[in-house]
Amino acid sequence: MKSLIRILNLTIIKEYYRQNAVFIFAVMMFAFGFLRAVEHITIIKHALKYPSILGFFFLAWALHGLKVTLFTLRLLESKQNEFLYHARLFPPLKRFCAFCLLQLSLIQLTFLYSLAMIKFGIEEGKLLEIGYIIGFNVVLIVVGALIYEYRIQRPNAEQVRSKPIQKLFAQFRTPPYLFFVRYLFSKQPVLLLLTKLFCCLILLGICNLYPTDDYDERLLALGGLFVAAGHTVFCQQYFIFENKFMLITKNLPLSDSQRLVHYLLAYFLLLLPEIIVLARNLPDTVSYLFIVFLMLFVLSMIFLNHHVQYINNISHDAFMQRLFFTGILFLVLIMFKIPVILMALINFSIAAFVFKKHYFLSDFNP
Amino acid sequence: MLNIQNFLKTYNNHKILEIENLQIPEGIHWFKGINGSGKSTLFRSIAGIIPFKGNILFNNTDCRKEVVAYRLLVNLSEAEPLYPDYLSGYDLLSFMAEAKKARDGQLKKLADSLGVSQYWKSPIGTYSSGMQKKISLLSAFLGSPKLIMLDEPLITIDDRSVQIVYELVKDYYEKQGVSFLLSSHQDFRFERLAIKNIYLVQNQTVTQQ
Repeated sequence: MKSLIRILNLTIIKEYYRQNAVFIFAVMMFAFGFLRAVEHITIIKHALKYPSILGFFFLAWALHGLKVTLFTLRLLESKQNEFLYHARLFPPLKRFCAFCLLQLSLIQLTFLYSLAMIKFGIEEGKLLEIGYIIGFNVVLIVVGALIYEYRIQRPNAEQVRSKPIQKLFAQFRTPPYLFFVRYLFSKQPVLLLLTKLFCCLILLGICNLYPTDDYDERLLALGGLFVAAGHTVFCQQYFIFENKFMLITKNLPLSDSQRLVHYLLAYFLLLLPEIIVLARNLPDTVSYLFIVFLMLFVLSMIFLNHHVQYINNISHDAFMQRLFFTGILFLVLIMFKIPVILMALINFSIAAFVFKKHYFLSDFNP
Repeated sequence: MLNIQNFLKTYNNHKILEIENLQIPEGIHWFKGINGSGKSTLFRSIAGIIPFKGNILFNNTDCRKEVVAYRLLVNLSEAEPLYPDYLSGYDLLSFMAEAKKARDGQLKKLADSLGVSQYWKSPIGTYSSGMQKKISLLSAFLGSPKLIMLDEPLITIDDRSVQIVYELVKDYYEKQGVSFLLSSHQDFRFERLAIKNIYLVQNQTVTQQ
């Protein structure tokens, strides 16, 4: 069984945490950057007291469970992992235990938080709620393991699920700027959903916060900065997508402007939910022109983030550090009331320069 | 025709291929070499899809400096193509045909001759490796290239398709003056193609045999 756990660890668990480092970082920043320890304790105590709040926790954990399960299923479908179907040759009980361990390893983000909740539950004497929390974690693990077991017994993906949406898309010609958007819908639906949810909620919160005090447009610009940061993972996915599946496009006689327009259109389409949320919830005192400038600023930040991926020899740690300090720099610029449209124009210019200099020199080292 | 100077390709500081000076004349040329010798790396470098040190010029058009003009002249079919499985072959080929400025009807004609039009509206995820390979082969003939590189063109495709590829190569060479670089570790049928030179890719360099 050790060999099975080892191979699942190498092929799925490590790959999940490698690919989702930015997502986990963003969640950690959101959860522990905005909220202090004392606020977490208050929320946990309220969740243990009110079943409706506990229900929200369970919903979030279930969404996270769905994300990791879909990720694992996607890896099981990929050609390079076909050898994993040999797991079926192990005794059923050992295989089931290995899948339970796999799922437990993947849900650590929510599982560790649930342990903290259990600790406070014991202190508060909330035994029934502790039972619910333990029970829900067991359900998450067992259901995940059962899904993997079901999948491993059916090596041919077409047997498991038909793809009606893909068949529908196949009837029409997909323009090239939609290739990556469809990649997110097809291969990273949970990432897409969670990112959009995160960004829209931030904008919604900021739009509702705006009229409550004497805020100015800088508050909305800060919201835009967070939205742009939330899209970092898309930029990384785009880079991986291009290098894995569309490298041949570098052999196509497309001008720099054509390539840049494709990226702009793809990211603009991905930003449509945020544009709608902002337009529908815009505070009365803010002009629609500002929305245009703000969304251009967000688009420019994402655009810049996309193109710096082409610079070679930057480690993941160094990249995250630079991202953090760039975020701080823009935060300071916003606080000093530098117009967002000016920052947007500078970002677009730098992005185009980086593209020109690094695009054809970029190397992909997965 | 093709001029490669001071070429160096490394991966993680490990030298893969080094070519001081290589002039390849017009014609059909065969690049031989064992697996991992660097044939695909050379082809991908010439196609301009992976970075390298040195200079590659086709008819004095620089791979890096004249990006669009160069890519209108040089096409590549990869040995083991990997495309997004949710797109259809038609999505990809239409995009490539448009970018390569393919003549009206060229795509359909090539798709019909290779039998690609029978399945190209389905998602690529449903294709066999041979069907994907034919998409890649077809893409190399799109537009008005003057150099076509076919990396392992005969692997995974059926005998009928092999014959069609031979015919296409012959036709493009004789009627349109298109040069070809073909890589294979198998022997080509010399009687079917007028192979001009054979190049050996080994010991991290390329030599004419």
